[in-house]
Amino acid sequence: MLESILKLILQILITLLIAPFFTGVIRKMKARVQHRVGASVIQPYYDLIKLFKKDLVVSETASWIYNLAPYVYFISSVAAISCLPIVHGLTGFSFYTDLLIIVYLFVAGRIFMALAGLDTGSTFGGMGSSRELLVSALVEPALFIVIITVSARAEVASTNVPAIYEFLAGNTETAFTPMNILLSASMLMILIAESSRIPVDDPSTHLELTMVHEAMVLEYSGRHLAFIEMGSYIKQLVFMTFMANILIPVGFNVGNTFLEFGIYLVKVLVITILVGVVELNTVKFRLYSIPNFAVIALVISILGFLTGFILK
Amino acid sequence: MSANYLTTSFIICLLLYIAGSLSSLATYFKPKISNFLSNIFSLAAGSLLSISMIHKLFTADTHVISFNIDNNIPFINLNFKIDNLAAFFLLLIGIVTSIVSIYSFSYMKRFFTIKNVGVFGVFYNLFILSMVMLAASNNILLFLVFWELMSLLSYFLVIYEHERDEVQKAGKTYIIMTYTGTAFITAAFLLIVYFTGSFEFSAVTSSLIPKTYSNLIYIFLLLGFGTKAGIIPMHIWLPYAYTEAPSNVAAIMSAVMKKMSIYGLLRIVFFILHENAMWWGVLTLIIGTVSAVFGIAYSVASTTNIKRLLSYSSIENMGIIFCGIGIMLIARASGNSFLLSLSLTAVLLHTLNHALFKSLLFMGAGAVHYGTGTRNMEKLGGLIKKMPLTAVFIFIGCLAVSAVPPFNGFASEYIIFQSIINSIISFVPSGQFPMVILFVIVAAFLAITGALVVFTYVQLFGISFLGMPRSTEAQNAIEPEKPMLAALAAGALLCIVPGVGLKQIIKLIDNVSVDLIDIKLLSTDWSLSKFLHYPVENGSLSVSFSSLSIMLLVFIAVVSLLAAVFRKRTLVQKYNTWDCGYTKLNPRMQYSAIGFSKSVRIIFRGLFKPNRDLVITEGAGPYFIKKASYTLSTEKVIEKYLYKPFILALINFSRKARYKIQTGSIHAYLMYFFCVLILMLLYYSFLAS
Repeated sequence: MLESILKLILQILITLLIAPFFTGVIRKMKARVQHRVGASVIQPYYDLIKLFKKDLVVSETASWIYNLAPYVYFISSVAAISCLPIVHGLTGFSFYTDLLIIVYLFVAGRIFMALAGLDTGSTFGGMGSSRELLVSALVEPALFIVIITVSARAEVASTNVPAIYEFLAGNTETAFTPMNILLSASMLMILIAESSRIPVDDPSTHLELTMVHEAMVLEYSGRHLAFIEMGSYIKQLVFMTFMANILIPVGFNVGNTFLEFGIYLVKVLVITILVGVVELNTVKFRLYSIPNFAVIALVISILGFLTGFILK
Repeated sequence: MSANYLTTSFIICLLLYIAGSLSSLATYFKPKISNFLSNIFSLAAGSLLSISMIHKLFTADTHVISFNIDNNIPFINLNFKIDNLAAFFLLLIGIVTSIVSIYSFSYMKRFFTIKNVGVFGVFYNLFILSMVMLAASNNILLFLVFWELMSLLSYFLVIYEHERDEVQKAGKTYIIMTYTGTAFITAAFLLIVYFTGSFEFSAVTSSLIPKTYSNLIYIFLLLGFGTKAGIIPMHIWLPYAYTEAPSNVAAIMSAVMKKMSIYGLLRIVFFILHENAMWWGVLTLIIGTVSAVFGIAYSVASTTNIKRLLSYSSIENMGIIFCGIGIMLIARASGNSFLLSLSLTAVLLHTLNHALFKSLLFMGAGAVHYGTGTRNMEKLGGLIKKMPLTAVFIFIGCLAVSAVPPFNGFASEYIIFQSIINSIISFVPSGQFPMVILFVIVAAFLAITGALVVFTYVQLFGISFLGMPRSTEAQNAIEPEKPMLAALAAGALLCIVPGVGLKQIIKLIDNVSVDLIDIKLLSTDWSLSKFLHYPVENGSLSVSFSSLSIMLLVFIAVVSLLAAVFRKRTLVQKYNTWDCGYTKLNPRMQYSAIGFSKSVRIIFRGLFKPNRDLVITEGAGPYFIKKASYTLSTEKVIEKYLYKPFILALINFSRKARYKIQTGSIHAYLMYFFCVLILMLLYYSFLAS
């Protein structure tokens, strides 16, 4: 029990510490390609610290939902990452660590953020909420298919993360099966959509035509914004960890936890660079092209399922 | 408590309902007293019913309450019996109606001066009574009689405000559809009685029914009960009836009356048709999935009326329950007892949960109507400041229906998804790949349904409760009176209980399952499956919902501590919402409900065929717009392409037939009589020989 609690705390502290770094990496990549020097990769940390110190401006129209939303969003993300140990050695509690629970925790965060967008009475907020909900609704089927595929293997037969990890620790070679490759491709698209990156959303814009996530949180400032940013970084890390540990379990069972952690970091960094490459080589889609993007993700995930279960 | 005691309390319940209706009628000229009496009796009866049923279910009292009323009417055996299945549904009726009765104490006030409240009280009590008797009926004939009574009495309640044209239209559609449904149920029952020769539920055995006919019976049942449940495409009455009925009636209809069709289906599937073909389940699963997706798509994008939005969402939830029934039938046909138990639990749990959160939301919609006088979301906004308590309770309802952990909606959605994953696992080794693919597709559709539910309820809550008031009605909104708030509070509390204490609820449901399939979900024999029993040693759910809630509470505590630390160091300034540097924002600049759901309408345009009409009156030039009006209409695709051709053909045929057959000449009519007589004589002479 005590060991599990310590592992949980360690897991949360480590993820809180590393989550902003990967966004910094993407920003740096982008800057270099655009022939700018760009901010340091640890700029997101400075931003967060600054935001925590700043005073807040809260809209007069806003209600308690607006004040509560950043915390709920942050808690839902943290609770989600605590379900998904970054290395096998940090597997502790199993009573709530369920892939479906991760999805529904994100639902909780999403509801509060979308309501907060509507709460201030700003046009941007409503627009952002509507778009954000649409994007997540569209990629939800693909996400569920990926989850079902990884948990319906006869040897696993559970959506419980420790059960899946246990299977993966003995079967790290599954990373190179066609099923996992297809699922990873689908997951990459889901990751892009859920973490508001190009081509689904542009995180660096403040233009009303293109904003999705940014429009929703436009009114936030100070520590509220810091919690939201932190929540987003962690949410992104949840999807990356899912991909790195469950879909690409390379080096998952080396024996040495520190080495495993190193391998995990490298994998997440590679995924980050992939996201960055996609971001650099595409332009933002029109809102109504996002269904095509989501359907492609869905089809790839279904293909992954079929190759794993039927075309064996 | 002995079984005898339970029988007594059940009979007291029935008497209380009768007393409620009679006393309400007797005092109809004093609306206040009449309303009070009607509701106090139904409240007393409902609470007594729920307490005795909870006691029966929790103590796993295997004794069935049964009694006969002696009578001299031939063929009619007044035989009542309450087994655990009936008790479960009686529990639903008891809980929901007692909450709604508390609510009605003040909700009915708006009718005091304009309507006859006494008559309402009569129908209200008798309606609940008919449902109670329906659940307790132990033979087909009684079931049918009370089913009819229930439909008829609910019709009178739906058309309570019959002065309004929309109400009349809603009532007409409802009564026509409900009788069509009853016709199918009657046909199914006649077939059952024809083959088995018995009216009793328990005495009937399926082996007597030939396979072809049992298939036919199931299709009839699906159509008949599906109509009452509002399954697409038999749903067309539902959005109108629920919208136009008074909110307390809509709450009972949506939360309980609809569930009686699930009760009927389960009763017949488990007590009469003991075997089923695989395709029954597949058909039910597909119908359920279609209802879920279409229902929620209509809910989010085709209306700005809160109650209509909730009615479409009811269709979606019934779709999910039918999916569960489909999986259950598939499991039974393939002999997978774990899956059978899991999906039956999912069906019963979602039935319970939907009853709890949908009654809360309908009552909430009524409270909004009570406080503002409108049900149109485009006229609301900012209610969270005027009606703070109502807002909290409705918010809890929205979270529950959106399946946010640890509320109750999450629990049932979780188990539904688990049963889908389990079906896939069980069909892969045997190589039944079409089934596997079917389940994957269903999972994808249910996933998008879940996400659109979130969209719907963010729209409902966000547009009507948040932001700035969009009309003077919303500006002058008032918090409803205490009884209404109390009812909402009770509803909200009940949305939390089954999520947090899921294990207790599953124990309760297990006592029902034992009656039906002789298996308990929470038994120790499932060590083969890690699904709900990981880690197996603990013998507990893979997900312990109560521990999950504690976990979330710990997270919340830690984060609020953190926030408190930062709060001390910073200032909070109140200021306008950012208005792009122009004049202050006004309520009309906010996002509207129509705008909010536009993206869904565009993506699913095949379902809605949206049609917009923008009329611009120009002033001095094209850039000086004097006036602009925007109308949006969505087509009811199913009505137009499925029902309309059929109705037109029927009308056409009747018109032609009138000239051919009904000529108005008495000679022709006499000839018809004669022909029929001859035919019957011939038929009987052949039958005799």
